Amino acid sequence: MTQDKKTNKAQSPKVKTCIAEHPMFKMMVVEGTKYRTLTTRKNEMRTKWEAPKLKELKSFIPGTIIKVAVKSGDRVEPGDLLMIFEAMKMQNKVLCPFPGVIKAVNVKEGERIPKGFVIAEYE
Amino acid sequence: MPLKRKILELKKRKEEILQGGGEKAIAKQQAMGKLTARERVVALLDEDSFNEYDLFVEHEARDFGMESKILHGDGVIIGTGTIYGAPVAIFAQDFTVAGGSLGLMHARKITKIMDYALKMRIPLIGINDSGGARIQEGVNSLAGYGEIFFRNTLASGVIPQISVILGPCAGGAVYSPALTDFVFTVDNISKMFITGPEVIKTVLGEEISMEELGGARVHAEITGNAHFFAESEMECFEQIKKLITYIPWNNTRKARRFEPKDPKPEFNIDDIVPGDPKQPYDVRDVIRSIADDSDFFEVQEYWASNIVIGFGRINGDTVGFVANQALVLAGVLDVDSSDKAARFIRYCNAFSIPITTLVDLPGYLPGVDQEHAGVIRHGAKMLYAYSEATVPKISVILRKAYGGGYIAMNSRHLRADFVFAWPGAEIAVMGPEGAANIIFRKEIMESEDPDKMRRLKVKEYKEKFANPYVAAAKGYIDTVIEPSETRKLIIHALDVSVNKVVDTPWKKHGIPPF
Repeated sequence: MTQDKKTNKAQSPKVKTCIAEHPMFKMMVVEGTKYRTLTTRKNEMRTKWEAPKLKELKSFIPGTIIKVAVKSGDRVEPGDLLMIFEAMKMQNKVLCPFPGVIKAVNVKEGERIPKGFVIAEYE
Repeated sequence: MPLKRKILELKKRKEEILQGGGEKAIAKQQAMGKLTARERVVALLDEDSFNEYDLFVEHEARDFGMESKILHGDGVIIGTGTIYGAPVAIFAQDFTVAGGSLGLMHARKITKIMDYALKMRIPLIGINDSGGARIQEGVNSLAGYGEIFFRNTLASGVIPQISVILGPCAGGAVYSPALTDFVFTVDNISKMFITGPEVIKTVLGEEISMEELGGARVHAEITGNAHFFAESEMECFEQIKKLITYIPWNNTRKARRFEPKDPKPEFNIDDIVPGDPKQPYDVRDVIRSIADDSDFFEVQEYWASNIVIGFGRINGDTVGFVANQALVLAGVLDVDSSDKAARFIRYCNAFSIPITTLVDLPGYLPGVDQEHAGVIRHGAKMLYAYSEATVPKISVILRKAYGGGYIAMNSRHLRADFVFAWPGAEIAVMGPEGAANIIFRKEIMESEDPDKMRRLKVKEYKEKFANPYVAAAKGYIDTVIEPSETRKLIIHALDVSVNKVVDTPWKKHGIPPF
């Protein structure tokens, strides 16, 4: 629950029917019906889903760029080496998934990047 | 040498070993707000009941200068004792000796007491406070962990296994607690993770404190790895002692019987659940209005709190409660709550504890994150656990029981022994709003005032289906009862289930959707 342990404990023994008036309560819809309810920290923290953007090349794990093999404006074919990306002691070859033209390369050699970073973009 | 002098020598040897890691290390332990391993064992067990074994064990490491080092008891205490008279086997890692690090002999001591607990069919309690593997002992440390995990698995479902995290428990060490039945944690003291903040920082560049990564609160609220959360070690020991009173010594025994007591009058079962199915309330108060002395011992209170699990007693005997919590996330089932309830049901079944289920849920939590997190696979665990359980299974439908949620919450169809419903119960394929929108879609769309039409049709559906009598007419519920009759009927149901026999087809084991 969003309250901390102490307040939660203090509140629980006797709950009145007007409990839903409390500002902590939120509206939640399940199959068309609206419920007044508390939520959990984990539920609040969840990452919202986004439709994948095909023209963005993202890191799926944090790591270091060892080598960049393309630059903006390059025409690339499937299987072409784009860069070498080291993560968890493994040097991964990042290969081109489909033909296109590189619009931007957002990393330099030796750069450390977090998970979900847009490494390169297609036109 | 006369015997007297030999006794003196024994005393001297013991005294020295009982110093653990010495004054300096003990002062350091105290500065961290922690008790020493011996203090913990004494505080947890009945007075003067602890008998220690393997006090004189010495390590065998011969590399990296270890051969000249003396590690008292090799950093772990093992022995047996009692809690409220119930025998238990216990080990406690001693952080003052080489950081409680696990070497070959340290592991041998632990596996020895585990073997003993399993042979004698008594509960095992492990107090974890260790820096991890003793690097100087290399692969022997890994072997030690493996031997412990194997025994945890072997003993699972045979004897109760309790893990108490009173310090760091990192890397491979975390898997022993994860394999045990109940994990106890203490705020600011317990720390559990596979890879610590240091590694995460160097490898991944993410910065996080130990507490935020794997502190007691995180495991009690976010990951669900911890079953109990306490603010001090003493509170934690009280929780362990209380748990021991509810559970049997092993899977062939019944839990200890207590003197039956009526629920406290301040928990009036007629006043707790609001009539409007959209209004929240605390389902734990319903449990308190049913249980002996209104005593409910909740398990995993802060994680997936949209379902409530825990122990209580009815007419003197231990019962496991599973209840949808309308207060949190409207009481829906989701990935975490299904995991939480399913494991608890299996625990109760393994240790012959009857299960009482209180049903009031709108269904499964909608959302992309839920679907992508595998709510199908996780939700199936509930079906599996209830279907598989052969202990007496009683359901009370308090209010809503819609759709898949109705089936999952110990329905007749999963072989519940008794299904009672309160008069306000609504057993239907889905909530009235959703159902009306589908069944009367055409009428609503073609109407001049769709909103009015929708309200009308929702009302019509409610009157026809939002009650317990449609399901009662098919025998899916056994009887419709007044709330005030609930306790009496549960007592009766438990009484007539004493000799329950269930035939299940022979199998090595099933394949639950892990």
